[in-house]
Amino acid sequence: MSAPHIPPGAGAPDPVHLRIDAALHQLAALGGDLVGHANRIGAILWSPPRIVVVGRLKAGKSTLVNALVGAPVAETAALEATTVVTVYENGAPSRADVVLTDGTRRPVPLALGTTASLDVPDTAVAYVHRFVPSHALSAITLIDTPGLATLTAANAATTERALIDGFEQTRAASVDADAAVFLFDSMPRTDEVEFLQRLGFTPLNTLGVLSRADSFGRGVLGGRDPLTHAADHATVLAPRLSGHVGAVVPVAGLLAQTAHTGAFTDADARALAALAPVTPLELFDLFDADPAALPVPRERVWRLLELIGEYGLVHARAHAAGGAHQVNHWLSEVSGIHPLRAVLVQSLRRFAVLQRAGRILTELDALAYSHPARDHIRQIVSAVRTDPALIPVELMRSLRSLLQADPVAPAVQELTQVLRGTTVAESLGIDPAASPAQSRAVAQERLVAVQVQSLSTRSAAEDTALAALTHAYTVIARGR
Amino acid sequence: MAELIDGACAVLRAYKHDAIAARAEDKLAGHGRLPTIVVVGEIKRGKSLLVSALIGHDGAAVDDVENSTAVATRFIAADDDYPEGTAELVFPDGRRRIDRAELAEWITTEGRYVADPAIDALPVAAVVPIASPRLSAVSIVDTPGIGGLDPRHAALAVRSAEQAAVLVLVCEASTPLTEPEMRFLRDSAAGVENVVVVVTKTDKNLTRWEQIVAENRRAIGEHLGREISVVAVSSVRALAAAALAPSPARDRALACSGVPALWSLLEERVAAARRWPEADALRCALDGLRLVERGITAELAAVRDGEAAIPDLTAEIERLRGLKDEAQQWEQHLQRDLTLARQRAVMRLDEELARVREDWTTRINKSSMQVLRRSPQVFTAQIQADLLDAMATTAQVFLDDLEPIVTELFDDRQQWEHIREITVAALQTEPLVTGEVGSKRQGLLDPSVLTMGMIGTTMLGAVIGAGAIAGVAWVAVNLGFKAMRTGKTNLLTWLRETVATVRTAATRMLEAAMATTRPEIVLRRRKHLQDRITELQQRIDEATRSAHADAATRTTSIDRLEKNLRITRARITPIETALTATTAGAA
Repeated sequence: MSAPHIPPGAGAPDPVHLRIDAALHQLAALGGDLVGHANRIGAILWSPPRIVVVGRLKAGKSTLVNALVGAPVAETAALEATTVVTVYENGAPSRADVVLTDGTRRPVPLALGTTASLDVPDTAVAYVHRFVPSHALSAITLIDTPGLATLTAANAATTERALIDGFEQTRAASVDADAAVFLFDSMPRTDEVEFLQRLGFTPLNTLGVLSRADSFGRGVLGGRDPLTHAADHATVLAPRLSGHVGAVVPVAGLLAQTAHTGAFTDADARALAALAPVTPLELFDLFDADPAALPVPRERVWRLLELIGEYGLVHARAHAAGGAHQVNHWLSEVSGIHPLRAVLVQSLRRFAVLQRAGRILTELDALAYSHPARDHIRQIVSAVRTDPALIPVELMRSLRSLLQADPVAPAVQELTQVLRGTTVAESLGIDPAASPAQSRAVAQERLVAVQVQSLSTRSAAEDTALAALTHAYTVIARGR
Repeated sequence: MAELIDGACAVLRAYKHDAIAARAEDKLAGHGRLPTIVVVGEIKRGKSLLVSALIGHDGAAVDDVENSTAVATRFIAADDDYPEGTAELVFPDGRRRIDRAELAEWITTEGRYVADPAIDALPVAAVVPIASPRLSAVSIVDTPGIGGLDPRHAALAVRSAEQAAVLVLVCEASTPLTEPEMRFLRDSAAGVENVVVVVTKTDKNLTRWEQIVAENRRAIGEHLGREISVVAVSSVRALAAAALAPSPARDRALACSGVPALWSLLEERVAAARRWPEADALRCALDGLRLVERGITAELAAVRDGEAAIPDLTAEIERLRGLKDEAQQWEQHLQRDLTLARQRAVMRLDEELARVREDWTTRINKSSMQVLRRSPQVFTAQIQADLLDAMATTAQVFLDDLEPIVTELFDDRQQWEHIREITVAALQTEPLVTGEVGSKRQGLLDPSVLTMGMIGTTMLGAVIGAGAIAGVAWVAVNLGFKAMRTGKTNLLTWLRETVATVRTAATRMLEAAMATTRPEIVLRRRKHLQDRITELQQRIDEATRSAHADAATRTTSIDRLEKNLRITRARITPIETALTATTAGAA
């Protein structure tokens, strides 16, 4: 039985993890093939949360993945880019396997600087498994997807199949994700939001990303700074989208990608500095109509555009005197990648862990149902489920089901509040200075209210949700 | 073109065919309608900004990242009737004029009045006058992108005898044409003669847009069977350039934006599309001239043949008198035929309404309330368009049945044209009077809607055209906003009730038409027979006179008549040539 592997930088192990791990030890102690099962489930338990990146074609998913991974691993060309689901996991050496829909796995030869081609049709591919030695990937696994609403219908089917059937697919090949990052340009479209809803995440483990912040609104030639405008818009969008995403952050993926993949050189910085005297509109016009009049060759300007975009070209000039290092620093700062990363590894990760734990409980249930030693297994599983440490998992599961069944049920808000809270006071929505006795009293009131609600529920999912809340409030009322 | 019509009308008037002359001139004028550029595209593609850039005024069309246009908006040249700084909101029950500053609050998704639950009447279209030289030659329609690409908007641009149009599909320079956009071009735009694909936001994709344009051209060639121009522009650069002081830098900036080149292409297409109303006018003039030609030829025959012509003429008079005597019998047949026509129309109405109701019930059931609430104006405008469509189809079916009935009775098309006009006028119910309604805006069903085979295509155009207000169905559709805010069940109930109201209105409309048309046909028939009899009598008199006149008088008469015939034919030939050229040129 392997020792729990704690991912570096994750801090103290989560109590949820520890409790489940203890249960797995008990499982292994029953002997026989259960040792193998316990190891398998343990590996799932301790592997980093899988975060899937979804969004429309050309929304900037792969660019963001590159920025987060810190290497240009994802395909970002102008025409149709990612065509299959790709899982980015921390691992050395850098290599790739293609996993087919029939469950088989084979290696993909990678050559530096060229795009590998898979010698199977896209529709036969379940996903590509890419191993990259990257510190960023030690805390999370990223899953890149093809865009929605592409010219061929085949692409949309690829993403849907990989994600939605993930839970029921052969376990070895499943690409189940624990959280989602949803990229959109200015405003998500109805069909994108509907697709997102079918994936079965909750707003708590879905992060909205306002993509291409550097070309927001009218872009760099409009009257308003696009990045500021994007940040303002993100604040406006967050409450509007609260039914789908927990937060909205603006990101200029291209700037982040360049800053974090080391592509920008000192020669580039010098070229930028040379362009400083030209006015923005003139810059555009000369590039189109009279490139010879530019202080720098057109190919160099083209390269700069590919690296830092129109916004970067206009505004990075002021920061080019200090060379590539200064430019990269500026790019990274304005790109919004740091706040995004913070949300990813803190709050989003927290809920991803809960979703994962829920999946594991389902695995254990399945084992308890089908295995000959089911009575013993059921005892172990039942003890885990009722352990107070796992209440957040129960709440999360019931929230997910309730969102699928009846998204406007009042319990949704209550579940969300309790889950979001990192302290008892936050979960109850009361003053942080409240005394433990006061918290217990409030919890007692909530308990009664929930029990009244359970007299007139509209769905089985609502029943389950109220039961979870009852459990949670009971524990708080008894004092922890 | 105009001289041909003028000359023809002079002849027509000389032979007392004033009605026909007036009709031809009217058609030429195209009811004062300018060619239209209809701008369509998915949401957030930059349609409104492009419209502003085309007009040359920043902020002409409301473009806002938070907001989206929710209703079709027509931009026209400002004049005394429609001053700059105002806007016309087209409500279901009439029009209202507002300050242009308030426009966004009424027609965008996050507009103050749109979001206000207390307000249950929202405009379904808007007309905005702008003082721009570009708008003197065309009007531009900005359409909402919400709800995806709408075939009704494409229908606006289908070739119509009444209206010339160019359809502009707006897409972005960051992405190749998407599947829905391609489908739209292939299906909805299939019937549109003039389509241009405009790729916007090149300023945000300096290194990509050329590749995207090339890919779009390739994809269009591969997936559609036709040539569609693809033009790249940057609306932002055009507007930035327009803001500069006149200078070579400004000219260069404008040229680089791509908008002047787009205008050249649009003007070329508009000129091509303009030919259609002119062709219609020519046809009308031609009909009239042929009538004149026939008359002169008959007269000539009478003078030449003298007494020899008389027996045939007499026989014909007898035949006509016989018809006159059978009037009662014939009128009963007419009654039967008209009743049948009306019944068929009502059956068709029921079919159409059932279809509309089914489609919308399914759609309402499938859509989440969020979606419905987000764009109530779009939904209402669409439901409205569908219902009016049903009414117009009904009217057209009735007219289609009426045509053979009438043309069998008379031997000239102009009689049918006249009866048709009377019927169409009768199909209009009482005019609604609101504050600003003027003489041009009478009637609820715009006759221009009922052109042959063009049903529905100019429906929305009629809605926001310069001369139309819609029918009774509008009032009922008004309440949709309220229903939409209270939930699906109410919305479905409202839909059922609205459909019932439309049915009543349409049936009433047909009754009114019957009540007017039948006596009109009867009276005209009697008059027609009597006129023909009188004419033939005159021929007989002329023939008799000619027989007794001396050779010199006869020769003078013949010369005069032949000269008139030549003059008439001289007018006919160039019109025939022009017509062939127009049809060939469009092919």
